[in-house]
Amino acid sequence: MNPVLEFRSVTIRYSGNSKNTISDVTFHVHPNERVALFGLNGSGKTTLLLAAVGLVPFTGAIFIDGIPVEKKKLQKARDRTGFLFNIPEDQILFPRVLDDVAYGLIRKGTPPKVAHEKAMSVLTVLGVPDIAECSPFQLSHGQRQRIALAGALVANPVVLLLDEPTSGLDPLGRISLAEVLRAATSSILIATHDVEFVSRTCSRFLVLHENELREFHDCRDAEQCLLGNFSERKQWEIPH
Amino acid sequence: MKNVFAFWGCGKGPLKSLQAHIRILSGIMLGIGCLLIPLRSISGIALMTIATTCWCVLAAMPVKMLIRCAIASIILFFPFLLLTPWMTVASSTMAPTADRFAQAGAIALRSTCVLFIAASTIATLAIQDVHRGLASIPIPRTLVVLIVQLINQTVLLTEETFRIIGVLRLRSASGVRGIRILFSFPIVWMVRMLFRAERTAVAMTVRGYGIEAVMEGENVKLTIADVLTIICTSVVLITSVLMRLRIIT
Repeated sequence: MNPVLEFRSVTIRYSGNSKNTISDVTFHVHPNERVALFGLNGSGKTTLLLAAVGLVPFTGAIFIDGIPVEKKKLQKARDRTGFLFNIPEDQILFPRVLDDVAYGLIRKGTPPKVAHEKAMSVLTVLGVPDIAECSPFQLSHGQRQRIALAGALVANPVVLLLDEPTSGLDPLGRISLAEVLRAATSSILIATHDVEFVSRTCSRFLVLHENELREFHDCRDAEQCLLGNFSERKQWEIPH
Repeated sequence: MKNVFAFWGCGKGPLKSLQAHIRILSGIMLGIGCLLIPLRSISGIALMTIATTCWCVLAAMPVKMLIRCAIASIILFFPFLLLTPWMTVASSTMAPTADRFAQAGAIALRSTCVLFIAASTIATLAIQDVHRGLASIPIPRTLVVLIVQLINQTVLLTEETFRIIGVLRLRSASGVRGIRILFSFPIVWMVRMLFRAERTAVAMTVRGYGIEAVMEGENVKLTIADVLTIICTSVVLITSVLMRLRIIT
């Protein structure tokens, strides 16, 4: 089975930085697979997700559904991707929820009526059909998070890249999100700190540790790897 | 944070039942009319004030919003009256001081009327109706994308600004320290806005935001009220043009 998301020896270094943000990372995500990406703050999780859609310059190769993430085929690759940013407000671009969710489909040529119906069904699956006619600005952070997720899910992308999808969600929201993601047909890569959430959702766990990637099949092992990182560091001291 | 958007769609008058594009078009026509009406004659002043008052009454903005508009217009436009001594005298029919006062007053009155018309139009439009309304008006799609995004981002920036103000209020102590934190506001604000702009640009790129973002204009059937409104506002606009061209006085 060919992977739908593939990183081959990817190295990322921001201009002006002397150190690589990510060094020689290689991994893949298979169809229908849900993979979690752990890492401490500033370890490069978001950078890795942004690189997957060609928003960060990198060396090495990234493929989405077999399409190389490079200048000429960038739009093709992006069309196969759904992206949830960690601040949902940034990706909400319309003053009405239904328009925002349906946009991904309308852009690809789906008739507006059909797109709106599909958007409505996604909102229903996410448990928020009643906010379809609202303005996103009248809603809470958690509700905006769901709108942004609906916008990413609606076009049924091959790969779903989620950056901190549970931030701002209440416990019930987390459970229902886990159910939605388990039912989704897309392959999913989730960058998060929420161990409990991904233990319910994912089957494979990647840990970004000192710019490099480690792979685990058990969530607790991945967590231990992160905690190991912590214990290796100097004990925190709160100044008096 | 909801009160940032309290202005949009807060009106409870009959105008709210009209089609979104009729509300937008009528508001624009009235606004242009008010800008064109010459205020040298009583009929001009009467036309402008009656048209503005009717529009405000039909929009039925809450009293609180009306008061806010009045305060805004006093702060923004009435300082024009301070320019009275330096105004050029153009008419020989009035005393120089009265003429100067009339000129400065005309600027203030005209601006106030346009502000009230704009506010009333916004009060009739829920923010989620703007896109639909604009898409139904025959204007370039690029312009629609721009206006929608302008409104969207303004709302977001306002929300962010209020959040920063809240944090500064919470963290500021009294006295000198409070003033120091107040001075840091523009820097914090600017940096936050720049980062937000960058993130939004990235999100737009990923979502492929472009000209296709404009929804298709809907072929909606106009009601008698829609037609009447558009006729009335057109009459105001045409009359103001004719008065400006001195065809009627």
